[in-house]
Amino acid sequence: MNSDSEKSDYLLLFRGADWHRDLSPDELQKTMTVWMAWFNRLVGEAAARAASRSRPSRRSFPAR
Amino acid sequence: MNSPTGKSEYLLLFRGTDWHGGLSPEEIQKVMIAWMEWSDRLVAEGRSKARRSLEGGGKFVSGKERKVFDGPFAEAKETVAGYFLLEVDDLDEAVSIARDCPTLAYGATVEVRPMPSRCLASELAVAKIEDVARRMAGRSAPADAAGRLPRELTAK
Repeated sequence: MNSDSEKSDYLLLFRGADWHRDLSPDELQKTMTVWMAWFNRLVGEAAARAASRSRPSRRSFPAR
Repeated sequence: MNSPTGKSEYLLLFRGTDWHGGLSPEEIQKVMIAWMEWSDRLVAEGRSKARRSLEGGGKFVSGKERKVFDGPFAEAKETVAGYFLLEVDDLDEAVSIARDCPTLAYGATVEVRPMPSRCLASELAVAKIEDVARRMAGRSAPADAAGRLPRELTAK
């Protein structure tokens, strides 16, 4: 574990610059849309985790 | 130009995990000291925004079946050992920095890749369909498929 959040960091390297060669423009755009949905979900999940970690813990105090 | 400062971003990928094969521990440490001085200077100058080394191992995911293999899936000399994220004026400056890499003299290589200001996928996901093929037509693998620097740049 090596990040401030006590998680581990990994680098994803995406290999291949010609994967789209046999795809139609429609298919290509559909793939890009799926890609962005995947990526945005990961970003959203990371933001949600960060938010939940930074949220102050609930504490109850006796009424005065 | 693709950063808030008006500079361009480039990724230096350091390839080669066996460059130290013929060196003594003292020689390896000397190279590492030179590396850290070089790296720290780039950070101090504001030209390196991020730097990380990569551990060996990991996994390689491939194909429609999404098979998982032990990785990295490359020979030691091709394996990415780390990266710098540079913020510099242009490709020439990025290459000039790459040429100063201390491990080049021992067989490691540095791949210099420009980073676009905007994510291609996000643009294509919403582009007019007639623009999608046109945008992708110009995209292909680097001239040298392995992405290596020309040999004359790897020899000091």
